[in-house]
Amino acid sequence: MHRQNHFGLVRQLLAALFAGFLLVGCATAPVPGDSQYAQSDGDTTAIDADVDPLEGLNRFIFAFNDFLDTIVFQPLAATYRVLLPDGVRDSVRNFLRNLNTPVVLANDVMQGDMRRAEETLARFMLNTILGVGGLFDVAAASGYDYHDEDFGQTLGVYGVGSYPYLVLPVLGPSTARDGVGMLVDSYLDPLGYVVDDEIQFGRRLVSGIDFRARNIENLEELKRDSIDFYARIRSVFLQRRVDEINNGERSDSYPAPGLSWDGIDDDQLSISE
Amino acid sequence: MAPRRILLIATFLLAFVTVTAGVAPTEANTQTRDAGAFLVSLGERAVHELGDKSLDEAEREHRFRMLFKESIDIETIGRFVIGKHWRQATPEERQDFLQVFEDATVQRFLPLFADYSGETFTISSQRRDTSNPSHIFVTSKIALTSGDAYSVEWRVLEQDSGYRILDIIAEGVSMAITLRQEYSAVIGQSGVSGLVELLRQKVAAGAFAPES
Repeated sequence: MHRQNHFGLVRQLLAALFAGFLLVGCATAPVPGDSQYAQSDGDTTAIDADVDPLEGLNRFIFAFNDFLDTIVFQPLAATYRVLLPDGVRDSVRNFLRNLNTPVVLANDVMQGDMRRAEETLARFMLNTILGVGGLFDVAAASGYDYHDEDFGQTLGVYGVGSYPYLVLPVLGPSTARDGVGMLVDSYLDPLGYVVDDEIQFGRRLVSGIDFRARNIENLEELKRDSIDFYARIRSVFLQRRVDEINNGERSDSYPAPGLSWDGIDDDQLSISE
Repeated sequence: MAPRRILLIATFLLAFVTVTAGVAPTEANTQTRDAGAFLVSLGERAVHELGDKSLDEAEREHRFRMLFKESIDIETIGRFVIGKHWRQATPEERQDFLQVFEDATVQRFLPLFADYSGETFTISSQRRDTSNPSHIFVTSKIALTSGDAYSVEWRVLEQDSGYRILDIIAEGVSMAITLRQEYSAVIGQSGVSGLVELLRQKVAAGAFAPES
């Protein structure tokens, strides 16, 4: 499922546009050692690189978010799950995903991925018409599975890395790149120009609660056996983003046990100490 | 507005929760079919051993540990997880770490096999690592009873004596890399001995065992 090459020109043009924007828009200081592990699609995971220069502040916000989650979001999500049956919750998610189609589609196109753009469009038509306004995901049954895209991923495709890592109040783990992406996505969303801010807020809130409700046990477990929850979440978040940017493709040269990652590379890898 | 992104992490968890649990029919290509078959048979054996009610709990755990050590290259993973600190660690620290790391991992995995509840595990493809011919990637799908499915990739070492798991990558999140990055934060604060101490406390408290 390689990105099609004949859209190379489009990508180059867009890359040129973005380059200018990025210089002002977000800090993309090169991470020492990054180039050694550059991924095919641009994002990098130098596994021991210091991507978190704001760690002190981030840890503070993380603790605040964790507290907020404990007293507000987790209970809200648990209640939501108890009150609504599975089928209804699935329809809520389907509906919200369908609403988000323009943003996904715009990013598919900006990444030059016309196959996925077609898929997104086909899903929208099928689910809006046959799926009663998006309540039912009939498209998935026809082989058009849902995929997510956002402007942070688009920037990643064009080579913007994960530096620096940020924890946003309430919103959680992010990066400078993804923070900018979130802002751009809000402008890409046509609904934002039509409906009131309250509705948009409600939409994001429900979507967040639905997601939280689907992961109550998982998060609990992730937390319980961690010895540094903050560091674990940071690692998992950044790996997930690389995976999303690469649409699930992974290069063989990824660091792994049994390769020479534990001894010989010390000097190249240790940049923080 | 809930921390949606944070929660993508959840999939990581699922790797551990379900990966090893259920075993369903598989298809494999001929070139490297044994690596997939190895994973399937490992799952079957573990469920079988732990389901043998004629043995007492200690004996069952002992057998599981033996099977586990034989199938997962815990030392190689442990060295990778400690990363650059391995070389500076004293022989005692290395030994202590590997021991507690094994204990923690056994505690983590055992209940997953013991509480198998209908997840299906399907091998979708296998291929050799182009730059390391002794490594095989096995791609699998884990389908939960809820209907959600997750993609899990295994890095398996092929040796004359058999196969051993080196890493588990769930939805793009590698177990080994995650542990390495998490542990390195702890080592940075309190050294390898501090890490060992923390892990020991967690193991003693049973923190790695998922609630059933």
